[in-house]
Order: sequence, then C-alpha cells, then structure tokens
Amino acid sequence: MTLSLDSTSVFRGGRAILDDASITCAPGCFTALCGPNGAGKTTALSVMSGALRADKGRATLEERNIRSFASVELARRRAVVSQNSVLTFPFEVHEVIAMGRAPHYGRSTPKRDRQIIAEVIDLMGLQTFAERRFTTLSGGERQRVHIARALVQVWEAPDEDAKRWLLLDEPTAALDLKHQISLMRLLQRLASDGWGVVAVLHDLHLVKSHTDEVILFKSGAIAAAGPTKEELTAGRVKDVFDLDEAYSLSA
Amino acid sequence: MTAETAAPPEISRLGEARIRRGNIILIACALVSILGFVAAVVFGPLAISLGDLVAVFLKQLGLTEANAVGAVKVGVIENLRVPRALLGFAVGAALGASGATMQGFFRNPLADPGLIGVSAGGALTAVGVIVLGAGFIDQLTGASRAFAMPMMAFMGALLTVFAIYRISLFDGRVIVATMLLAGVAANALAYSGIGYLTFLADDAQLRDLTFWTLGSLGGATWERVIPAIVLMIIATFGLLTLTRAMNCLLLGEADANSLGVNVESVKRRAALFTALGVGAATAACGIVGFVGLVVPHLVRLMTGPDHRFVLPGSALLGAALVLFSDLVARLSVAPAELPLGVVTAALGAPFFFWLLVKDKRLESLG
Repeated sequence: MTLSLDSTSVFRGGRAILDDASITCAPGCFTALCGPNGAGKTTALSVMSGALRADKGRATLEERNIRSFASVELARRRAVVSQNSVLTFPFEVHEVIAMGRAPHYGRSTPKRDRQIIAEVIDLMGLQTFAERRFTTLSGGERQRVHIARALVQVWEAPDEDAKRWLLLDEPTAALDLKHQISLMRLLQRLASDGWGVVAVLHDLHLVKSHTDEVILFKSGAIAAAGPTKEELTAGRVKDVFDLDEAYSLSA
Repeated sequence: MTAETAAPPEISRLGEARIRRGNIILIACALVSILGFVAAVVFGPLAISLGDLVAVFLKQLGLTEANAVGAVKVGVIENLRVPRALLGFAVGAALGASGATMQGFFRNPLADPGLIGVSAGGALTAVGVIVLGAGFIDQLTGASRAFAMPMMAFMGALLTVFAIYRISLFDGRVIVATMLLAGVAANALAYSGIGYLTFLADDAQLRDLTFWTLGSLGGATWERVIPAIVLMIIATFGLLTLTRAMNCLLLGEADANSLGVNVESVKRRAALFTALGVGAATAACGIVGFVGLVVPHLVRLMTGPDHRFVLPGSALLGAALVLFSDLVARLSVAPAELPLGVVTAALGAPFFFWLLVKDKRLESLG
C-alpha cells in the first residue's frame, strides 16, 4: 500500500540529479522531503507522481510500477500540487477547483462534484473569493486554490482498497504564516484520516512540528530517512545543509 | 473528513449558474448563425423572399410541388446561394473552433490561424498545387481530385502549426512574443512562396491566386463545397471532443498530466484537427483572417474561458461572422464583390489593436 522509489536514478547532462534513491512513504503518514536546493527533492517527487520516467529504478504504487497506470486511473489516486502551474485565462476560482474533478468525468455526477467542491472551498477557507477571477488573486491565494483543486481530485478513494495520495512541491512557499500553519494542520489531519501525504518543505520548524516522517536529500542521494523526531536533529541538519554551525530547531 | 457536511447553498450553486448562462449564450449564438445563413440566402441582387426559400426547401424534401417560385429563383437558391451559405457556415465554424483551440493550445489569447501563418502555410501548399501540380491534378478523378487541394492545404497548415509551436516553446511554456514573431516570419515566408508562384502562374491561374490570398466565398459550387464541408465538419466535431482536456491544459502541461490528461495525445489531436479545419477552409476560400482571433474573444467575454462553451460558441459565432461579412462583401459594392478577407481584416485588425492596448504588457498574456 506504500508509495516508494526503488533504487531510482535520474540523469541530466551526464550528472545524476537523483542518485540510487530508495524511499518508502506510507499512507496515513505525513512525509516531508527536505534538503538543499538542487538536492533532488522535486525530481524524486516527479518520479513518485508518475510524471517523470526514471532512468534507473522505478516508482511503485500499490505494488505496481507507477508508469503502468493509465493516466486517468492514476489521477483518481494521487493529486499533485506543483510549483509551475500556469493559468492566464480568467476562470473563476470555483471553476479552477472544479478542474480537479476532471478525472472523475463520467463516474461522478455534477451534483456530487459541486458538493465536494463546496466542502473543499469551505475547508480551505476560500468562500470569500470563490467567485473572483483566478487571474486577480495574489500568489498565496492562487496557491490555496491549487491545493483545493488537488483536494477535490482525490477527495474520494477510487475503490475500497486504494489509498489517496497528495504530493506537494513547496506548498507553503507563497503562503503567509497563518495559512502555512493551517495548511500543515490540514495535511496532518488528512494523513491521520489515512491519506498519504508527501511534501517538499523548506521550513524545518514546520517540518519538525507537523510531519511524521522526514527524508533528507543531499546531492541527489538520501542522507537520512525515518521518523521526524529521531532524524531531524541539529547535527544532521548542519551536515545535510553544509552549515557552519549547528542549527537550533528547538522551537 | 469525508463526512457529509451540508455546504452553504450559494457555494454549491456556483457551477450551476455559470453553466446555465453558458447554455443560454450557446443557444443565442446558434440563433445568430441560423439568422446569418437565412440572410445569406435571401439577400442579393436577386431578391428572394422567405416564402420562396421555404417553398424551395419543402420541394427538396418532396413535401410540395412548388410552382410558385420561378425557375431562375430556384436556380439561384439551389446552385448559388445555398452552397455559398453552407460554405460560409462551415468556414466560419472551422475557423472559429480552430482559433479557440489554438489559443488554448498556445495558452494565450493572441493565437490566430491567420496571424501566426497557419492559413498562409495552407494557402502556399494549395497554390503550389494549382501552379505546379496542374498536370497531376488533371490525372486524378472523382473523390481523390476533390480532396487533393484541401489535403495539400492541410499538410501546409499542419507543418506550420508544428513549426511555430516548436519555435515558440521554451522550457515547457510558449513565449508569446516569439510565437507572434515566428508567425510574422512564417507569414512572410509563405507569402514570398505564394508571390513566387504568382510570378510563375499563367493568366488563368493568376485569377485563382488573387482569390486565394484575399479570401472569398465566390464561385462556390457543390463539387467544391462538399469535400471542404466534410473535412471542416470532421475538424470541428473533432475539436469539440477536446474541450475538457483543453481546460486542464490551460493549467500547464505538467498539471494537466497530473489531472489524468494524456497531454501528448491531446496536443497531437488539437494540432491535427486545427490544421485540418484551417486547411480545408483555406483550400475552399483562401485566407480569411481574424475570424479565429475575434470570435473566441467575444465568446469568452460572454461565457468565461471554459472550452465547453468557448469552442461550440466560437464555431457558431464564427459561422455567423463569416456569413454576415460575406453579405457585406457582396452587397456593399454590388454588382461587384469585395474579397471576404478584406472585410474580416477590416473588422479584425482594429480589434487586434484594441487587444494590444488593453493588455499593454505582452507578459500579462502568458
């Protein structure tokens, strides 16, 4: 039932940007991917989402090679919040969120879709700008809309056994402090509800206080992996990030 | 988490209102295009009344023996006005739907088959057939002859779409300025090719060529109209199957992929159907510019950018725009005729200026 990478490598320009990485993420668990810029976190997330083909090794979901899923089948199991969404057409916010229901076309009803969208708008606190044009929103507001779109995409598990997965690439980057915290709480809650949540995060304080597991990347390889409480220590952070002195995480 | 919480009713009705509005606008677009069709048949040097039109139509269906309408009028309706109006309808629908798709495909609202050289690319290969391949065409018979020109125009249009897309793509996104400049270059190249072919052409071919570069629905005969219409119908309905995927594609290819859209396949189909529609339209009536730019904008202003409404709306309103423009072309300088492309450019070019002024910074467009 896990989402994992098995000795996976990705090469770009003759260099391994992901180097023989093995990762296991469990459903019901909030996993953080951390590490310096260019350490391979986003690449690992792309392979795990099925978007990027690994040059060596593979990503596995439900004991199957992730690339063996039809794209719609995969889209009902995992949603991705990327850093490079572009949208220049003036959709209203609720329409952007509704795009998350695209993989359920023909299986869900318009009524059920609207119900889910309304629940998520409520959950993400987007009521006040649900009818605004997406193009008029600030960066942080857009980010919250994209997260809402991902939530409606996997709001219901496709079948009894399947787990729901949420993969997020720096979801807190554009958010203010209040929304960073409420997003982290929400992700924690989803994980405790059985969702698999995997996020690339830079704020180690947020990682320490909210995540269950952490995977530390250094130069394309996995430097450490395990329960956040045990692995995310001042000494290890100093080592992974090449800091000059130990970093205080006692917040 | 999945517990059924009752949502505020106004939030849960958000989608409904937009869809109802979109449907009403689609019906309005359909009515306007039907109006355009009827006007195209009724108005002209020989006045035809609605009664005449209905009588001829009923006779065709075998419902009445129409003696009331004179043979001349019947001839004008059946052999001149109706094929011309049908061609105008199909050309407008194909160009409108192609323009809307192209703007989604390039993820910016300035893409237009005429503007970025797709029509000219199609025209170049079609003109090449007229001038260089006359002997070859003469050897063809039946269907293969009727489809030869549209298919050549399709190839030229397809090649141009791919070239412009590859040139303007940088790091996964289309650079608008590059796209427009590549379009300028593609237009220049195609027109220089057409110019060279004009130089080679004999007198009879020359008359054909003028008609090509300016666009006209004139000389629409059933033999020419039917293959073009068949191809344009395939293209328009093909594009209509892509609406949901096109919506997702506006989020970027990576996000569309995460939403379960087979991006490569959708892009391929969008390019193929667009080129088929534009190619068939160009083969049948030459380069008719700006329909694909103006119409999707107007529809988007009314329905919002959802392709489920923009695409069919653009097809219908495109048909209406071409039919009414052709009416202007026929009636304004009667008994002579203006080229259709002159009329649509006179409407469309100021509109393009307006768009540029409205969104001063090109960056804001994509």
